[in-house]
Amino acid sequence: MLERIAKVCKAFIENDELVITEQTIFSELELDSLDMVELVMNIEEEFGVTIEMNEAIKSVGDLMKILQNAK
Amino acid sequence: MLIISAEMMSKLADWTDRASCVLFGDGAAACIVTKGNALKYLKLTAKGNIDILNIPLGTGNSPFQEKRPNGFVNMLGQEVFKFAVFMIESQSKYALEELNMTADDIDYFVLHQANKRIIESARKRLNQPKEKFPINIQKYGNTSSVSIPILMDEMLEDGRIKKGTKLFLSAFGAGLTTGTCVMIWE
Repeated sequence: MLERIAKVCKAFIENDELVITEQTIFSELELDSLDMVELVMNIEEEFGVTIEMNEAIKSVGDLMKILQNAK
Repeated sequence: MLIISAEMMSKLADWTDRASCVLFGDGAAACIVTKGNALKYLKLTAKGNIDILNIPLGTGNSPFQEKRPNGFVNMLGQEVFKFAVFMIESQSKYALEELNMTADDIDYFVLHQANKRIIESARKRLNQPKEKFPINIQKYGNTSSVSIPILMDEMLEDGRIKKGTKLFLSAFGAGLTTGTCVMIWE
């Protein structure tokens, strides 16, 4: 799962060198609130799920928990 | 048929909220529609969702309701963004498939001027060049129902729209409502 999230993040930020871990915090990637919406939309398409934007998604770990619950 | 719309979004914005009041503008548009073959596709939708975009109405001085003043434009920005971008992408796919066209065939995507980031995100998803996505929100703000006609008027003036121009129009609003059409300008 982490590898797929990392692939989506790197493609969105257009940086293949980026290191993405479970501890990665999205604000440290300089993503604003609308960037986060776009990233979440790309994640939704990658995993075939719907994610509510009112969920707290501050880190990759948060995203992984949401995706696990969405299954 | 004469179609007129006039919007005074400045009356509905909260001028104590710096973040939102600057987004909107006032405007009006009029259009004469006659018989012809320009319109190739038209679809309107409404979701019946008032939560993410609404303007609460006040209760005046009715003695039967808890007093509440008129509200201001109220929106969950991230949800509106998501709805708008997905809508533009999906509605364009439906429309163009039905017409046996692709996004490459369209000369201009004339989108409701709500937010530049929405337009840019939709553009990337459709994999189309910037020139096909005209933007004038920086001049007028979000003028609600008149944003597309104002933009089209500018495009007619400067010659971007002329006979044979293939246009994809898409708008959304509270409701949540959407309107999509494809036309070949006559």
